[in-house]
Amino acid sequence: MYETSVIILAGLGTLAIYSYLFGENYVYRFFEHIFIGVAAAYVPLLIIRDQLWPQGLAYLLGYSELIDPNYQPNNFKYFVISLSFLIGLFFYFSYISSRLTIFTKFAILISLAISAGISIKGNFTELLPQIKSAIKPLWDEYEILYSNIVFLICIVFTFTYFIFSLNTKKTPIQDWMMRISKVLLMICFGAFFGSTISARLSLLVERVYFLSNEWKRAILSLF
Amino acid sequence: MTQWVIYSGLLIALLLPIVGTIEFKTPRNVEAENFFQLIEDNVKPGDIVFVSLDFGPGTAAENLPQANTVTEHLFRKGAKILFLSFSPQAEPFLSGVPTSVTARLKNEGLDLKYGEDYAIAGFRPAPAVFLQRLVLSQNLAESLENDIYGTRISTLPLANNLKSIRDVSAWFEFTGLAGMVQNYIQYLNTGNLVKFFHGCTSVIVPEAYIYKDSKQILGLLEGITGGVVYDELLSKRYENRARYSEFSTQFQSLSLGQLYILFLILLGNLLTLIKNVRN
Repeated sequence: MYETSVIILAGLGTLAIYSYLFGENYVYRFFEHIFIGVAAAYVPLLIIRDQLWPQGLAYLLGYSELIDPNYQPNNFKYFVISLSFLIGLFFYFSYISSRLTIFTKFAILISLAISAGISIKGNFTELLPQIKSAIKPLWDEYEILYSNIVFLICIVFTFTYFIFSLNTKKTPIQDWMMRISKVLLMICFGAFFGSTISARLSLLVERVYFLSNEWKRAILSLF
Repeated sequence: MTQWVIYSGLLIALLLPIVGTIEFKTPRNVEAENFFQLIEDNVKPGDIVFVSLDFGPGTAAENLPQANTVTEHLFRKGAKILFLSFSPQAEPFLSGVPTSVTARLKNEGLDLKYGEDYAIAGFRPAPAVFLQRLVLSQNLAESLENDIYGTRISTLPLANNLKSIRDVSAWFEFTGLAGMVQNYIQYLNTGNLVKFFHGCTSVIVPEAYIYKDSKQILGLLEGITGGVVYDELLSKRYENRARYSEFSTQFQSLSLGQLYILFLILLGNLLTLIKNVRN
């Protein structure tokens, strides 16, 4: 019975959200607010249950045996957890008093420094193989050669589009190249747009399938 | 009035395959075939693999067929799987995917046990920090800490040989979130350190192709098509298995819906052309 009621409620939620097709209405608003409310409560709860408690609070409050039965008290770990909690709390100090904003700024500073360090490393790891793979041989089997030449043309033209857009006076060659690059970019955007439609349609298909199968069965089981 | 005609037409197009009056042949998909073959060739019994289910109900229509079929293939190849997610909305799928796939395989006599054949590490926030930690770890199983049932992952039999990231044979990730795959590519150093396979929604597939070209992604599954083609490949390889009929039907609906949209585009252009010629 519980499962049936969940399915019926899910179907009603789907229909309520799709009722927006008829225009703004109270049913849509009601279900939208339910969704926002549930989502807003769900994530913090998950963070507390899966992270704050097992990673920190359980150790700080002396319940470590619930997390790890073999845990040996460790002053360093205790210090690291306490410090990270303290820095985390600094984020909220500005709400207590404007005089304490300096602590919030300190927390933001640390957070920015860590993010910057991580990003710089990550971006190099991500981009270097791509730069390497963009340099392709122009002598190979016919099929690969053809694809590499198309790749080279696309990359050169797309680059030139953005470089030449800085100049106000264009030579006829520059103008001609820009026109071709614009066409290439439009093809690319067209592909993006097409795949976006396909993805949105997939989501709609899944809902239609759900309503016409599981939901219909659940409704019929009531009678 | 016009919009209701269009909406009704789309609904009819989507419903026709569901009520069973129209059926299309599943097309070939080279990327799905490559993905399948790479698993066939590279995954050996006892290999430890990670499966990240970074999707929620919003993109489950596309990611769930991929996750289910690939997980089934990995289990059939004898791989030991650790499931996790960086998306908070993935909670129901983190337990749902292993449960449904193991139940299917149990019907065929393949009895997979939690802790020995698979484990669920659960939701983890801050992917950049978490993945860097795993890469640097000399005791990876210990770094994973607890599973969703509160058991230390290091105490589970499947983690016996899991010491460093080098012990991970491959990493599979399914997502509909733009930017999520970059976390893996940046911090797992995919292509060099870890063999990385990616299943994504149609929206973000153009982004994923960039990494496929640079071999930072080895295998790529695209949208619902990827999942359905993979399902068919599995059925060819394992003849007695039951297919996921619901995914197949949804794919049929999608195909007819796309044809309908193409028809509308052509009709719109034709009507505009006629109007311009008249003027």
